[in-house]
Amino acid sequence: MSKLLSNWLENLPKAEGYQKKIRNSGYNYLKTIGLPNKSSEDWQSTDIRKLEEILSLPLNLSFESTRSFKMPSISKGSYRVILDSNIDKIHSDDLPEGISLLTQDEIINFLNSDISNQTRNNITSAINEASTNKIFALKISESNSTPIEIIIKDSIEELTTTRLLFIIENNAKLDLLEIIKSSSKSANSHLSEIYLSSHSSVNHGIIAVGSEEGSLFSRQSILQEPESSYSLSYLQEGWGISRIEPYIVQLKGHASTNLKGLQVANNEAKLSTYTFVRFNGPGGNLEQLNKAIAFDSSTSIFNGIIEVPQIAQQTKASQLSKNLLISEKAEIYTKPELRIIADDVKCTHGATVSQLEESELFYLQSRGLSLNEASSLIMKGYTKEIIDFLPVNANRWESISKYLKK
Amino acid sequence: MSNSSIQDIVSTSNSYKYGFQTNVENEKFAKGLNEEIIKLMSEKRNEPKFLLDFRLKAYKKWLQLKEPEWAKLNYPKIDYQNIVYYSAPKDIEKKKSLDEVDPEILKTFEKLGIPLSEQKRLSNVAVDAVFDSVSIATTFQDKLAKDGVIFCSISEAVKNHPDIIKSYLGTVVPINDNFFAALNSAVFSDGSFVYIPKGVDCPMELSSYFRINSAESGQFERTLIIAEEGSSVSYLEGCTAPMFDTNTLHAAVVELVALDDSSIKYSTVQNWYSGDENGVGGIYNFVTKRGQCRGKRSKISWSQVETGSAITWKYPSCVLLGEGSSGEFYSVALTNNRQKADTGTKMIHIGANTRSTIISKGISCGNSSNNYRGLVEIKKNANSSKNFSQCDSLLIGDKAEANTYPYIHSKQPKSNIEHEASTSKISEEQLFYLQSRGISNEKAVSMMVNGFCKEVFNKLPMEFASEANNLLALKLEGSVG
Amino acid sequence: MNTKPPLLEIRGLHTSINGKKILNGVDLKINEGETHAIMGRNGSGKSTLSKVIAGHPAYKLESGDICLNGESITDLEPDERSAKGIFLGFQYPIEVPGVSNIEFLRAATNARRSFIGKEELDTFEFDEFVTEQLNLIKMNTSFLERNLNEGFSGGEKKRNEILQMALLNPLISILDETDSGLDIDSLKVVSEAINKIKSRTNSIILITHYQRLLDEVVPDFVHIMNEGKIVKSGDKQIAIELEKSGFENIEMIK
Repeated sequence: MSKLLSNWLENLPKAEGYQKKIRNSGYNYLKTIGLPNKSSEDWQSTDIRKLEEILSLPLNLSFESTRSFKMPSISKGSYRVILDSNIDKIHSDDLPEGISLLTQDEIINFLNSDISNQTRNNITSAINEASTNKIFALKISESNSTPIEIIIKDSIEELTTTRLLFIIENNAKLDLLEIIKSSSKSANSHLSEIYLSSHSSVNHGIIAVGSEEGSLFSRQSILQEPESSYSLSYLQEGWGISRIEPYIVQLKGHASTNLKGLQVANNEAKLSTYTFVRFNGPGGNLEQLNKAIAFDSSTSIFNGIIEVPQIAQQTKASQLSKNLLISEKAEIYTKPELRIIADDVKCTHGATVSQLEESELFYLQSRGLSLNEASSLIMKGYTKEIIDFLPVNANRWESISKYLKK
Repeated sequence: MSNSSIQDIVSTSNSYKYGFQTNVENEKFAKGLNEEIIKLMSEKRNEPKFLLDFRLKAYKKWLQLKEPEWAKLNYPKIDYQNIVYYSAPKDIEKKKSLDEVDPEILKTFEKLGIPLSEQKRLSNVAVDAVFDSVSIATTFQDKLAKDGVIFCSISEAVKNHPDIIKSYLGTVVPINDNFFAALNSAVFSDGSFVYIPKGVDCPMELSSYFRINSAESGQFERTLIIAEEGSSVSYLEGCTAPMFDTNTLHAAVVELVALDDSSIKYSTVQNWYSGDENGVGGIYNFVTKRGQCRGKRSKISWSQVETGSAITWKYPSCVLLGEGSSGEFYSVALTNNRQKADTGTKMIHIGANTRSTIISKGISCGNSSNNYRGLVEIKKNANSSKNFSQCDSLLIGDKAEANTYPYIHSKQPKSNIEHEASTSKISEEQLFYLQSRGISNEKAVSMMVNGFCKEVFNKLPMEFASEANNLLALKLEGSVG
Repeated sequence: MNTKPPLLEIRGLHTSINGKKILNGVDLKINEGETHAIMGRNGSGKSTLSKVIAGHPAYKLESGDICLNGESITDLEPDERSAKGIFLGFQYPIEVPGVSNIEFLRAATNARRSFIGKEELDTFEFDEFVTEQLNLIKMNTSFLERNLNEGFSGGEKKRNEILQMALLNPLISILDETDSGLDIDSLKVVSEAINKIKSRTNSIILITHYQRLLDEVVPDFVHIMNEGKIVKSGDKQIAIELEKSGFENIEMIK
């Protein structure tokens, strides 16, 4: 194990009882497996020194942002939570109908279940789990009709780690929007775990917009029971380095999953999306579209794995990775992967890397638009397909509304 | 190769047709590998010093390299000191006349459908017959020489054309390229050499036929093809081996060099012994094949039909250096029983206006696993380049595995990459339609599989297309139902 | 004393697909040389009946029997049924990518020929044979070089079905909505071809919604299907009545 990691593990804040229980798995993973190296395929395109840099930042123990940022007013009927020290003060009574806090026992029982354990054993979760004392954990029941908005902030020169757990009960529905923002030299580690019971549905949006010096390592662990429906759309923009890692398991198949991602890489940013979808039963569906635009000297990475074991007959999965490479100095890596054993399946994937369509540009220019206007118009069209998928409340945020402006 | 002879040998039985072993007296070195063995080997062949140095350098590199594990092929560790690195039918000197060649060996090739004797020769194909990594005979050399085409074994080329060998050997696949390429560079025995002079369209199909006969020898052929400016050549290779219940290592290296406006078409029908249905025996086929399009507007096209070997690990690649050059890869890989295939290509676009096309068709049956692994890379200066890839997998039976790993990397905004892949099974409606017209289940499946592969078969030379067709039908037998 | 069994006899046929019952006791007798029409609204079981006769594996035979010349065929594979002389003209002929039409036609023709003890045709003989038959459907030879039904227009697909019927020379042909999707000219070509293939020793079942095909290929018997059963049988007059009053009034016709 590297010295850096062992130091980091040693200096983690002390944890007892409940806290120890929720942190154990991450701690043990790091202790035995350690940090990734060059030959770990998921980390080949990521500068591992960046990961080390993040671990050398002090932890944001006060769980308090040192900076405030402008937030749009909350839309009527929505419930907003800012993940800071105030979450301790939230009581179930304060929550809208159909939403309640999970008890410590419920949290531990769930995290120790075989179901939940399927999503462990990876570096991004482990770092988060090992260092996060608090989980903001909610139960959503059938009577819920309130959209939830979660705000995650950064803290200068510190590593802020935040963790969510949502258990969606049978027949329940949830609109969930997460805003992850950084505005300084800082790092965020964020883990969201969502368990969807039968016949439940979640419309999940993530807006992850960071500063050029910001780092984000985030993972979405999604567990779907049959007949559930999960839809995730995300915007990843800015940052120095950022990873979004949706990890989805259809526990017994027969569920539907819809993933729509957009990453806009500027300056020197290294943006990446690693998705993994596994069908542990028959009759599952996946539709996935990931779009990327690489400007300046940025790098955009997409890696999408679809796993269809023998048991997952009649799976239908399609995945498309579309990339626009705008600048001579930018780079695109894309790797859509299919791993299939079942024979009665229909799976497709595709990837394209191209620039703005010349014929489209010419058409708009011939109608009097400048090259810049024409490009931005076409790019707007390109991003719209994803932006339109975000939960409605997302439009109140400037990061999103700027894509919608005429 | 005439159609009828190939059909005869592939369609009369449903087990591996080429599983017999020929009794010939071999001269072998002791097992194991060290500098002494390499020196002895080189001396035995009267090799020039540059080649011995090349081998020793490669050997040193090999010692530093690790056997690659990234393909996760899970085969038992190979003991490299338990392999015979030099085995040749006794009396290795190539005979002036075929009459002097061991009749057992001639009979072997005849049985394989490759008659070498004057009277029976195939009229339009020149053949280099390689038996346990030693070239036994090359037909039509004189006729080819009239056009200045050199077609001979690598060992002859080392003797007769040392300058060409010296300036090209190891320039496409460097000795330290990978573990198996380094091993091959240190110990390669024989293989084919082709040189097409400026402006010449090679008047015949050239072909090598590789036959593994000995159980304990590793097989390390080396092939080098050079197409000078404005020339063209079509080369095909076929491979078979006897059935042994041990695994034999085959680590060949193929290097192609295409200069301005030249074109090389390289086709393979690989049917090494693949082991029995329990996965016992079979060839480990760890091959490095690479072509360099050095010249402007040059073209290299790989077509392969991979049906044999216990494990195949092979990525015929194109390095597109010359402006306007193009690379193609057309592949059919069929795996059955416990076979594992990890195959695909690399298309490295370096020059401007370069083009590449990848069409890969994988068919997995039984308990086999069939991976497509391919890299498309567009480097900074490769502006206005294009790649199109299509990788389709067909699954037959619910224990077979089909994986697709395309790696795509672009640094050039004025270039386009397009990749498509699909995985599906034989459609029941199609099957019913064919069956309702009186075509049996097995025949219908085989027709549909051939239809699935048609785009690739169309790229094979005529002589091979029907062989490929029959080979697939043969390999599918028993996997349907 | 004629004890010869009917060419095709269906008795008390009940079938289901994925547990859902589709046919609820179909009885039908067809003798050599007869032309029958089966009509009925969508979902009445017409197409199912045709697929079950041809042996589609998705349908489960619950009870009943199908006999060809007095012998049960229900245990036979689709290809064995075809060899014995059962032909199904598909409502939606299947596209099979990469398989050339002529290669397919030859394989099918030879399968049937070898069953009836005729010599198989080699490529040259077959070329000659199929070129002759092409006139029947008024297509030229380029039609043969394409992939089986791939990218064919609706009319071309249906003509290809009739070509197969001509090549296989079946005892009984079930033509499932061969008229649907055909323009007037194609309908004429197709029905003329059917009339030419028709003989005293083979029989035809036409499945259709419309009278217009029946004006060209005149049926000896017309059956009306509803809810998986034949609810009425008679002569061609029924079809004409049906055209006037529509399927809503099946009960009235009854």
